[in-house]
Amino acid sequence: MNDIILKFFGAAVLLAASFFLGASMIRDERGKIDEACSILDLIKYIKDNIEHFVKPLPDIFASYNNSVLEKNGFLTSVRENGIHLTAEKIEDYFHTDSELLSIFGDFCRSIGGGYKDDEVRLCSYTANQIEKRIEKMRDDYSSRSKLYRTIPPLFALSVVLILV
Amino acid sequence: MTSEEKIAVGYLPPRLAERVVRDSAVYNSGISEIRLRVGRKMSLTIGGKNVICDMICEGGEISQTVSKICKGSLYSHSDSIRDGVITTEYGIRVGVAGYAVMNHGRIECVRDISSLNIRIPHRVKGAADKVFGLVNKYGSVLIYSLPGMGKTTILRELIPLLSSGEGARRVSVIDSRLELAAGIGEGELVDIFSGYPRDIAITQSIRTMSPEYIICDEISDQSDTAAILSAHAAGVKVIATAHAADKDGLMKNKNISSLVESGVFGYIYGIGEDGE
Repeated sequence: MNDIILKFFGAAVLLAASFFLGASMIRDERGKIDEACSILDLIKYIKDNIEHFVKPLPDIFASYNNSVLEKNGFLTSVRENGIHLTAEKIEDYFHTDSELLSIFGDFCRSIGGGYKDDEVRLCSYTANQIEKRIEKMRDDYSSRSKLYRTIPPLFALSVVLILV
Repeated sequence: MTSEEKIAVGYLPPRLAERVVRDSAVYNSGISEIRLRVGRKMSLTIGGKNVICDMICEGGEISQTVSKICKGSLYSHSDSIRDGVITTEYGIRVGVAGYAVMNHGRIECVRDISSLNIRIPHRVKGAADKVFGLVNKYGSVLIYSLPGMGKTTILRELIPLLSSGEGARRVSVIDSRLELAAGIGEGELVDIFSGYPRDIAITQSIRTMSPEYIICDEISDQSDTAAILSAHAAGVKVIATAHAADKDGLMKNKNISSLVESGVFGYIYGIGEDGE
């Protein structure tokens, strides 16, 4: 009797863990998209402030708020060390798509070095590239989330069946 | 090193900064200029002398320096770069030369900056106090000297003396080249016209700010003369500066000589090489 209870308990734990694992993987993927959207929002904010107000970068970052970029420490680093220095270790702050991060890293290294028209063009180009990446990430997310919802629980179920 | 010298050296890439500190240590006088030129040796102006440092500036180092001066935002200084000078919040002025992109006879922007002249404020001890005394006695004062002798620094130090404390006066500062307001320090009764053409600012100031004193830098044009004459007629005292090696040179400028002959200035104060 105790054996059966233990087996069911173990099976329940295994299945629960698999669901949590699946949910965690989906949450990670969602987080990457949120990071990417936050990066896009920042670039658009920079573009608007340069185009309409010619604000220096330190003032732009001081006035910008974004919970995702605050939480991962990127905004804090930019405000303290400047965007060019922060760009050198950009992977420390983000877990998002690597290609998108490469585009953003190039942007961070280049921004501020030109005149207004150059800067606005750079922002527009980078925002455009990032929007395309986000679209691809969203497409991948919908197919991956289905996989993450089904495969871990299926795997756990097959283990349970074999062991039980 | 003075605090201004440390700030100026702080703008440089480490390689150049180290060299400036080392080369300037042998001299007793302070550094008044740090000059960088792409592909050429860096030089310093110390005690009026040119000191050539045995170190060639690379293009990337000039870009790095400009970026630091502009706080990583070159675009926010495009107007002043077009005018050939960037003024930092510490009152350090940086002369800029490069490739001018022209559009209908106007400089649209300056690309490939190839020369920088970091001008460190040269404080002539007590000079502002001396001019303050002259202002109190004579009213309107014209200060002249060769470039780099401290005229603008005197005006910056004079502004808080005139506009604060007991006997504070209403002062309009005409900061056409954005060189006066930076590093101005305290000053209570000050209205600053930043970036305005000098003649327009003087006229607007008289009309709207009812100043007792107008302070402006580097007068030379006919439009400056006309505006200052109208200020004088309105009973406003004017403290201005002009470039000239000596009084004869000063009077060769017809616009300035007409102001002097009209009796606008109660005193003409020349700054010599010894600061007197």
